[in-house]
Amino acid sequence: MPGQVGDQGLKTLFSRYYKDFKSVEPDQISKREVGYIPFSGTMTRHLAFKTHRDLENFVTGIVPRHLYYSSTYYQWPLEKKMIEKGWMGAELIFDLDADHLKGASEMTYEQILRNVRDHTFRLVDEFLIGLAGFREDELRIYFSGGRGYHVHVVSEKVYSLNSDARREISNMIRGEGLNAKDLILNINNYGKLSGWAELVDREVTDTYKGIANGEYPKFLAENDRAAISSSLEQAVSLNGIVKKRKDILAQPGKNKYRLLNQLDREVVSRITDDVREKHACEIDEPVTTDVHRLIRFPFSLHGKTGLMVKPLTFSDLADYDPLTEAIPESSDVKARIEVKRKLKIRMRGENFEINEGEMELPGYVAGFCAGMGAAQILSIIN
Amino acid sequence: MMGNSSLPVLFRETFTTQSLENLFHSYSQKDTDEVISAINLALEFIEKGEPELLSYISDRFLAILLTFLRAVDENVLTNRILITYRKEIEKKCRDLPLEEIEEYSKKLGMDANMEFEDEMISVSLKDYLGIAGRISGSTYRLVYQDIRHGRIFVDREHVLKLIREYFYSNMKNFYDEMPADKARDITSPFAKATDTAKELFKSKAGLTSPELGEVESTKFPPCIKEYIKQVSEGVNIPHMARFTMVSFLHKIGLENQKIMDIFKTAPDFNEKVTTYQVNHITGETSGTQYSPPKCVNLQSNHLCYKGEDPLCNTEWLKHPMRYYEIKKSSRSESKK
Repeated sequence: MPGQVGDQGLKTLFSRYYKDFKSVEPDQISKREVGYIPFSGTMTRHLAFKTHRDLENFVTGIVPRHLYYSSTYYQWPLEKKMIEKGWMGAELIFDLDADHLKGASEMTYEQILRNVRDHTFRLVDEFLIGLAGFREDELRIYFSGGRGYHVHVVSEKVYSLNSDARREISNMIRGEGLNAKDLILNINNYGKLSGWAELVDREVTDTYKGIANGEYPKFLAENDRAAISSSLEQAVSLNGIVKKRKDILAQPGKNKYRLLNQLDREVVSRITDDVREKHACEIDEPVTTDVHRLIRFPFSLHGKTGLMVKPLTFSDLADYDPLTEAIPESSDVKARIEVKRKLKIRMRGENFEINEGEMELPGYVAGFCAGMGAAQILSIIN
Repeated sequence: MMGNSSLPVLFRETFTTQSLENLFHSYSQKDTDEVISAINLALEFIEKGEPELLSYISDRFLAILLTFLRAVDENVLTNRILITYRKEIEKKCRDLPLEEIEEYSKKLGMDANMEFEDEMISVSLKDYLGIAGRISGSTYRLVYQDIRHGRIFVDREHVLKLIREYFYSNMKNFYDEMPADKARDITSPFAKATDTAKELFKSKAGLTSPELGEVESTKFPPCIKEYIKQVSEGVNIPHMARFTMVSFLHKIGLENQKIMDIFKTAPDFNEKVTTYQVNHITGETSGTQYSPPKCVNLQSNHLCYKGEDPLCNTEWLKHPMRYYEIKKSSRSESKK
């Protein structure tokens, strides 16, 4: 098996952790499919365990490199064919990681983690709690152990949703399909402006307030500026009341969208795109829409970092530092490693600049380097 | 005054097999009359091709009708009748005050609340998404909803659409959950009527699978195949799917008459309307030849059926037309 010999040291480090593995999540473990990737060989899935204790014993024995469970509840999770498992419902899950982040290739690991954390915060704060109205106790937030976070909605409100319904939620969060033309077409159906309409309207209102005071947005061409300013001085009749256009366009509310001229539409279109760019959360859509998904097991170790898949509360999230919080105690040892590729990492507030060659490092740093494939663990020193 | 107490909800669990059997085997004149009027309604529907009928709209009557239709076992016919009832429900609700619409929504099982301040109805996110995914068009997308803490605020027009879909799926569940042979057992005293209805329907509908001639339907992308399949099974496909299918078939060179033939089995087939629509999309009357939408637009309207199709799942395939072009050219190359 490729990599078998080199990964032996990492497996030893992981076995220290899984020796005393305590599993408490997810709920209804007997209804979940469990899968894992071993240190040598390929993925095994369609496993199931009656109790968390059974799972602990299994995991202690096999020492997985990656461990997963199904966000789905099944009547017969052991069945090999999806159709025979007896789908009962599924958590609603969100995967946020660097793959969907603009400019991630230019960032350090720490920067990526901070950036994804901000997206996760926005997902939970604005969308899941703010708009979708989930309570904090219906949400589970995890550091993924790798380059991001997972958010699970565990609630009767979501279990039965099919893939199409989940895609609607995903589209809302990503601002997918949001454009000025359809927004203008549909905005009159709102009672009160909420969601994306509210965000766009806030920006549109501010922009027109600015224009009325001679402050033009940068994207507005020189010769359009005079045209838009003079159009704001024109009088219009709205619901029988005559007003200047600027008194409607520079006020919050949906009335203004009935008065837009061609140039205004271009302005609104530009603003809509900007608002979407700024507020959308980059979630991995296929994860959210898949109603049979396997996802990382709480408190398991991520095979590429040696870090824990660790739950955290919403109030922890704002300044969560996974490179301190998700380090397993079992890695508080010394390890001797041979570094093949140099790398930099900051863990537990300490900077490590690691160059090629043999050296002794804290176990968690060694685990990280070995997981990334940049080093080989030669021995673990208690 | 039409109170909502008389509007049907048709929950499957209200009617046991035994209770349906009792109706069809009843010695009571009243029951027998009701069964006969349901059968006559179905026969008349087949005969005239359009509904008259729909003052009969109680739970009991619909249960009898659907059981009979299940025994006849012609999905196209059933779908046409369901669509007619769906419209009828929408029409009846249209006259109701919003409070009564709320009450009826709740009876149908929707988590709906009257919101007096906004003069709207709020629906829970769960129930909204359970239904709205089936309705296409930007108006029903979550991204354009007035959503406040997990409730979607909808106006009268919008809630009517939700209600009619709720009701349609109740009827559909009722029908789908009953095996055809079970329905035949239940309706056995009327076996002759069942056979008559089936034969009459077959002779009227002249059901043959659509002839596509020159064009190579095996090279169609999965979405177009699915629309054609659904239409020929009598499913009422969303407007955008029709548009996509017609513009696609036109682009690849199918004659308008052949395109129209596909729609003959559609549940709400109306020759005049279909001719107009097809001629409009294909540019005959409008002067504009419309193109099918891009894949991404079909996806966000839940009209993409790519499944595991390898070509659809490539990063660069962005348009259904492209799919057909590639499939066609790859065949001619492999022939060389």
